[in-house]
Amino acid sequence: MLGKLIKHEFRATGRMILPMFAAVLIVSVLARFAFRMLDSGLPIFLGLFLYFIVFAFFIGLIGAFIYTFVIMVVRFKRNILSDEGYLTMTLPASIHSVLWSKIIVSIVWSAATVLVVGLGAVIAAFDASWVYDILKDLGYLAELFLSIDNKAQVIGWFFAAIVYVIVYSITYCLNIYSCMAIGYGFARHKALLSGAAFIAIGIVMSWVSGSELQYLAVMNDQVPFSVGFYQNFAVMLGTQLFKGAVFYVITWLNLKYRLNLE
Amino acid sequence: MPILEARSLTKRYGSTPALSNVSFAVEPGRIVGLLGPNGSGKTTLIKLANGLLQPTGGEILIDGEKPGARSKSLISYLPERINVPLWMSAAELIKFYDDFFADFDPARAQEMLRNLGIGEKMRIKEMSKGTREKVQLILAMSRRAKLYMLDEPIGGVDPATRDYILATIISNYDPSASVIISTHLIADVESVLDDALFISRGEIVLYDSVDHIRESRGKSVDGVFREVFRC
Repeated sequence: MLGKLIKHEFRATGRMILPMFAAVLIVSVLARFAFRMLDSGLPIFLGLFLYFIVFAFFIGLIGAFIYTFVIMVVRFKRNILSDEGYLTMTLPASIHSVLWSKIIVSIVWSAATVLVVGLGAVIAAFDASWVYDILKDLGYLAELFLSIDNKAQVIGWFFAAIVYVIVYSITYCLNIYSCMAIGYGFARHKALLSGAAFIAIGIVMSWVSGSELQYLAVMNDQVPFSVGFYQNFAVMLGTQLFKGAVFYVITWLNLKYRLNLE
Repeated sequence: MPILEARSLTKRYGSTPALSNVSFAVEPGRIVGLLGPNGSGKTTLIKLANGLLQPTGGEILIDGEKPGARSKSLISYLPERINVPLWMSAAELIKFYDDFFADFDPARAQEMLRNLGIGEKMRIKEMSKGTREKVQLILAMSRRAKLYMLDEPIGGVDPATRDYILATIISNYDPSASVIISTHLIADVESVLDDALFISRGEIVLYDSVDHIRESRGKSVDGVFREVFRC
């Protein structure tokens, strides 16, 4: 059932996100030409138009992240907490499956947004002379890697970083969902109370983060980074997993026991 | 085993009671009218059966189990609100239902859409309110469910559509399945009901077969309803 939920989640969100990706890439191509033509003494109206394209490009790069975030929030509200919830919450699926389908799809679209924005930046600024420099840098990196004695450790660090980013993203997603699930459990002022929940949870979680940083600072005073990497990683990952678990339980409990669709 | 059973079922919203110690059982193969004025607890009862609300006390069982993923596969629920995604077309909704509900019959849904002259490619947001309600009813009645729970299926439609909806309900449900129709428009549904369950202020005031109600009281169910719920 999770697979079907994910499939439909991609369909429902993809129809809004994919056109945005296309728009970012098109504006990036236009910006590439605009960058090249700006210094060529064009008439003022054409110059203004080119500046507008460049402006749209930069807004597009930042806006892509905001747009994806807004889609994630709106989709959760519309599909679970509003009238569509009558259908979503009566599908023969558990709340866990519904929740995980939203989390997984949000993470995939967030990662895709990073890639598309990166690609847009490359399209706009790419120069053929870079190919040589990039190949040279890649060669240098390969040499550096081969000269390292403990290659397994470096690979381990790399994968640890990826795991941390994924867990952090899931936790952030659940943070938003938990606040909405709390706010929409009330009869009135649902959006306002979701915001209030976000602030209240943020205050509590900043204390958790403060304790984490304090612990890391003490630990790093005693152990060098290369030795204590996995200890640092375990503390940071553990903190994120703890936060994520708390947000997950809050969301699940509120959807199961407090949700009252109008 | 009853397909739907409530045991001392209680639901409160804060300090406001919506259902108080309600007990009843619906056997398979019955068409039951859940009858009561606005705010009597009909929708709360249906939401509890569908797992959209949790009881404050007591329990509600569907085919002997508490509401969960399995019970949701047994119930075909028609809420009083438009619950389908507005951006989808009727054809996309048929695929959606077919994907999630093993008992969904897409051919039956397509035939009903054709009979009503509703284009499959038309998006829900392009349809009138009445047409949207018809599409929802078609989707709900195209399942071969064990229990149909229809919340105010005829509330907002014209008399001709009401007749069509009731005919659709009667002609499309499996005789071994049960149908619960929540409404306050008694006269329109009386002819299709086997049993009537009167609910007032969260309490059951009458639950009997329609034939017995008429015999014992010498009135139609509509007449009894007007008597019981006289303002």
